[in-house]
Amino acid sequence: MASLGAIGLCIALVLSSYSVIGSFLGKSIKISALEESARRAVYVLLLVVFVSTVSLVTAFINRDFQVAYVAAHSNLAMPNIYTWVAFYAGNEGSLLFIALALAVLSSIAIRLAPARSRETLAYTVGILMLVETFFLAVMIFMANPFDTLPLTPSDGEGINPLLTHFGMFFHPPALMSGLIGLTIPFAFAMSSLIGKQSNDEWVDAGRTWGIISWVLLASGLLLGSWWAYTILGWGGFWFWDPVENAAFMPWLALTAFIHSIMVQKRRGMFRMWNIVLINVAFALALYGMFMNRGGPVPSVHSFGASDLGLVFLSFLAAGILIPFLIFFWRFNSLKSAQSLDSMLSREAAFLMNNLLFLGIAFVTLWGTVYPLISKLGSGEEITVARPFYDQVNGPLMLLLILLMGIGPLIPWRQANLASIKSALLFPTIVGIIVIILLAVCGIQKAIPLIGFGLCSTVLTGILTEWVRGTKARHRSSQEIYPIAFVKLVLANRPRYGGYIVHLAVIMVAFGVIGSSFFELQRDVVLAPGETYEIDNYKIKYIETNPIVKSDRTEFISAIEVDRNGEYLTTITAKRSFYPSFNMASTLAGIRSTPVEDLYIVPSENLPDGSVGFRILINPLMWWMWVGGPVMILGTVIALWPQQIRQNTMRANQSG
Amino acid sequence: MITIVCVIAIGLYSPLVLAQSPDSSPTSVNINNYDESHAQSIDQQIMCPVCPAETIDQAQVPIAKQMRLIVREQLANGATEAEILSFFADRYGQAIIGAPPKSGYNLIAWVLPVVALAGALVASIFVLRSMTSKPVVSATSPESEIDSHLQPFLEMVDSDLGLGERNKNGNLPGGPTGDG
Repeated sequence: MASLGAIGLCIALVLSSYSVIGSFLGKSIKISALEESARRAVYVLLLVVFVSTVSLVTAFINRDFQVAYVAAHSNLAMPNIYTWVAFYAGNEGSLLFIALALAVLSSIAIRLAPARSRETLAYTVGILMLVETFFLAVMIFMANPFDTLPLTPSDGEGINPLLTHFGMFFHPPALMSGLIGLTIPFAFAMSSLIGKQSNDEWVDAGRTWGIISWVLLASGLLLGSWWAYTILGWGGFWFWDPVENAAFMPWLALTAFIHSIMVQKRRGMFRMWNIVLINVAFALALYGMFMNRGGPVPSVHSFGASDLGLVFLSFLAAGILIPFLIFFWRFNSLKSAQSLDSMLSREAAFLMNNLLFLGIAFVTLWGTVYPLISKLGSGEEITVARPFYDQVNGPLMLLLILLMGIGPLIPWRQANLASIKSALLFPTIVGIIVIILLAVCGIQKAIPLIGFGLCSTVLTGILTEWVRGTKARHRSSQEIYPIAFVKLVLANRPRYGGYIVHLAVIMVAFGVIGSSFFELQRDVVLAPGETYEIDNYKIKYIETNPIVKSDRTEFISAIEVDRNGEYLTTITAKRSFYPSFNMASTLAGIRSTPVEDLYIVPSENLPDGSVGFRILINPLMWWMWVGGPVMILGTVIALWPQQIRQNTMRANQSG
Repeated sequence: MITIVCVIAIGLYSPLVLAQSPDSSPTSVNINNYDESHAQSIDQQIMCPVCPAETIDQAQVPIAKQMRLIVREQLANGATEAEILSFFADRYGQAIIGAPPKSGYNLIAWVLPVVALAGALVASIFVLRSMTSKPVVSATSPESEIDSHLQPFLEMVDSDLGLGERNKNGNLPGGPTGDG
């Protein structure tokens, strides 16, 4: 089976190379049959890479320890359900996953390419397959998942215990697909630039695939935070780890891009800027994959340190330099079709949005490189970690929320100052009232006060718009309010989908502000039967039951929780020790409500039977995790194909 | 992986640890007159010497626990936040502190982002200005198909928001020649 996979990779490499050469050659010597066959090679490649993937999965299920990768990332004790996770637990498997994801996304993107981008589609295919070729070549020559061991071990080393978590089924695949998915808008943009078209024909595909990558990255980041929250055992969800940053930066650039591309879509402006943005996002995505798979920085993600660093670094350099050269080669074709009407317009607001998103990305990158600069400059070893990012990026994020409140209320082209004032008046008043109320209730910290105030302003702005739109529809069409609201949303999906995503961002912001500024944390050691009071909870540690499993010992602690003197619930929290890895993993016991989380995690099991617990009360944390599905819903609405909308419109018009 | 690194590294670092018994944790010593949340905010600024990219607040290894205890003892003895941070910086080097100091050469770390952002803001205002001053190519630009479909709804929302009527192209009054 494994040899089938290895052969598959070689065939895939031949196919992808053929597709690259066929696309560019067919386009330059104008043989459309060659272009056509190069395009079809992508579909064949998808099939072949899929076969290789299946063969690796089969090797895992059969625990074929002759395959080095299988032996290194699984063992007989591993439940079969973790095959999926073990698949990408190391470099080789994640490279195969990335190659598969790119093949799938490329096939769909090429098959469904909008009519206006067909003219330059051959270049798009060529660029996509160039990237695919890189990943296949790295796998075959440097990190082959199908390499076999000279002797077949009787058992494998087992899966990294930190990965045996529900979130791990989705977090790495979402992030990897998101990062590699960025290649698609990039390829459409570059092909349009090379093809010297009007330079607007990539906009539809660029927007769609930009948003798809965006939502994949955003889900990946949220799932990663959730994983960290439940399993890392310190009660936080984000700590500006170098690899987290590496996934966060392309997301930031992409967020700027999916806003800015709307200006080009509607107004034919910002052409140059959008090309720059998608290039920056793509370069940051390559950097993200380099940090993840090259592993130059020690971090929580250093699951597989490797010597791939240099190869990835070279690819990253090429991925920045070549588009840069093409950009200047075609510079003159990138003039805007129209001029800006006013500084007070949606267009200008989007540019400010871009500035802030790129600003946060820049600060993050700067924090990553500063230790190096300091070492070279003054010779001093400096750490740039969470305290730095919190202080610099925190205020920038508050500014973003402010802009999120103002931007959508400013019309395109030219706004009238009086109308903006009247649209902003009510939300601003609500924001100020919220700040005063919270201050009266005893919140004295300035930053969360401003944060909650801004969040309420944005929320009010969105809801006001929804209410007014629904009322207007109700009045003009006599539909009952719920139907009027649904039809309002369906009639302008990009706009209302966007609003729903903004709503989700506010939910996440709620969770971040609440838990960062108002968390209550205590480390206590409790003997069985002992109680501890925190806030209005009384925590009683009952007992710990050790369960010996083949690869680990699980210590499951039961904790009884009373609130205001009444029994509330019993929480179980787990700490597992893995002798073969000499490491422990924890699973926090969490009682989550929209008001606050009660979070209990055992940090050590002492010989006398007592347990060291970390207990946290994390206000508003629930909102952060609920924000994720809301964000996906908004994205789906924003992206829903136009065809259905037109049908709805027709139905509206006839009815 | 981290824990493995930590376990190995603890062996190397333990001679550096001040005289504390290995099993001590903050609650096992009777020091009470300090503010726990202040102590935690200090913990969050000090890196764990053996665990990559984790603060002593996060790390669960013994050395982090001992460092947390030192923070609390010093707070109880009346030390200020700055004194505690420099206590650790003196012993472990500046790299033990999670952010560069806001002084001397390291001011660059803090100032550069602000300067860069201000510069970008000024630059983008100039770009926007130059874009406005360009001759208007066409006031009746071809709007995409979606927009014409949206027209009735945009009008509905706008009229309700009191933004006035849109013209044929979905634009608000004032237009390219307006004086906004």
